[in-house]
Amino acid sequence: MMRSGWSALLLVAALAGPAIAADENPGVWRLESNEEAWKHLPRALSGGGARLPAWARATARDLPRTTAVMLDLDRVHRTRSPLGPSLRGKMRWVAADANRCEYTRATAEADLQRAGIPDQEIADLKAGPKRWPEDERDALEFARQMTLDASLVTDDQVADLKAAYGDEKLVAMVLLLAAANFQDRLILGLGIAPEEGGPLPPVDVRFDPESPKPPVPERANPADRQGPDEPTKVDDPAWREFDFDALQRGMREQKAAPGRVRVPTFDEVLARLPKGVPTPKNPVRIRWTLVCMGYQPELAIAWSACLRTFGDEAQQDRVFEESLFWIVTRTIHCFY
Amino acid sequence: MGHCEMLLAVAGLDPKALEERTRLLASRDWEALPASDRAAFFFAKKFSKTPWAINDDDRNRLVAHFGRERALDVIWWASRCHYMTRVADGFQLPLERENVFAPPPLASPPNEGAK
Repeated sequence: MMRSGWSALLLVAALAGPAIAADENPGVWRLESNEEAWKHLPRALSGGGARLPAWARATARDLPRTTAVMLDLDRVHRTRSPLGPSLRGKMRWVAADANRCEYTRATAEADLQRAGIPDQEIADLKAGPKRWPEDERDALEFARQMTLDASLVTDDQVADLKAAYGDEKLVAMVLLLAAANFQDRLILGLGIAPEEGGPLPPVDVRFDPESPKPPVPERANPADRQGPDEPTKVDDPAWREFDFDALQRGMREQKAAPGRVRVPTFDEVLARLPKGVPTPKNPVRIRWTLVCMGYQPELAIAWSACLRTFGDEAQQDRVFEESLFWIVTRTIHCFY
Repeated sequence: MGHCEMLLAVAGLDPKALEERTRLLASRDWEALPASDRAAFFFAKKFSKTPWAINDDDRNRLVAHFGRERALDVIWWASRCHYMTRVADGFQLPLERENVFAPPPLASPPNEGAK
């Protein structure tokens, strides 16, 4: 069936049964008022009631604790990054621009202004690579490439950055761009418009770790719903480039890859764990985790909290979600 | 085995089911998948390449299949995949040879060493 014809079928389905409520107005994501959104979130020890970004008002009802830890992830990157406010803000702007995310483009620009970056420097950033300063060009190009097609980032590119900035800042750059690509997609996926009245500073809130878990609305079972028909064939040419065997070859090559940064030992990771963070029960064997925690524990912990909390609140079917991950990695040629 | 396959194994697929699943996902024929899975996977493909092109129709489809709350989960999870892939592509670390997501083997029973 042509995908463009789905709306009519959706209407028929809506008229035929209770599967699709007429008042759902599904295309436009509902934003809670600031006051309502705070009622969904865990209890705050400080900073409660501050103006929340629109994306947090979109997710607060259905993913309350996840929203709380996403606010922390946003704050940590915007205020604690070892890259400093200028380079961090510029790289974040470049990622937002590559994703065509107006919301975060405006936010990154406002962060740069708040940090006192001169207007001319911001104008040069926005004018494109030809006007990017020589000493920041490699980092900004890296931000663009990591966003548009990370599989094309080269070993030489990363080696140059490592030589210029060192391992710790290189890891901070990768984690910044990872978080940017997560946040931009969440905002674009939900169709969140730029903030009315202008971009917001990070929300400085501390949630009470002892706060009772806010309720999470029950999820529907897709099997009980009657959504529109969907195509059964994957007909885009890019999907034909790699068959199953080619993908297996790609993974074998990845096993032999030398890696671009030294993987710290578990003991090195333990030595850098911030105060109050519980020691893992078993030694971590995942190399990504060792790298992220070993070089940038604060940024890594903020992301881990998002993953863990989302898993707890959403309780998605694991085979479904890992299959979706598989589809994403396949689509963007990431052999993991 | 890549991380996705390791995680699918942790999710409960045995080696045969895992190969069948990945062969199905890699194929051009998704007829065997439920319509809701197809909706999510087509969404994820578009979202990966052109996130700025996601529109109300795309969101409508997800909500129609999953309901509003679960559709948010799908969008959140699809967004999360782009964090993980940036980390993977940025560092290009060698893949581990064993399933590092599986629980570690149980320690030997206390008396075993005395045998």
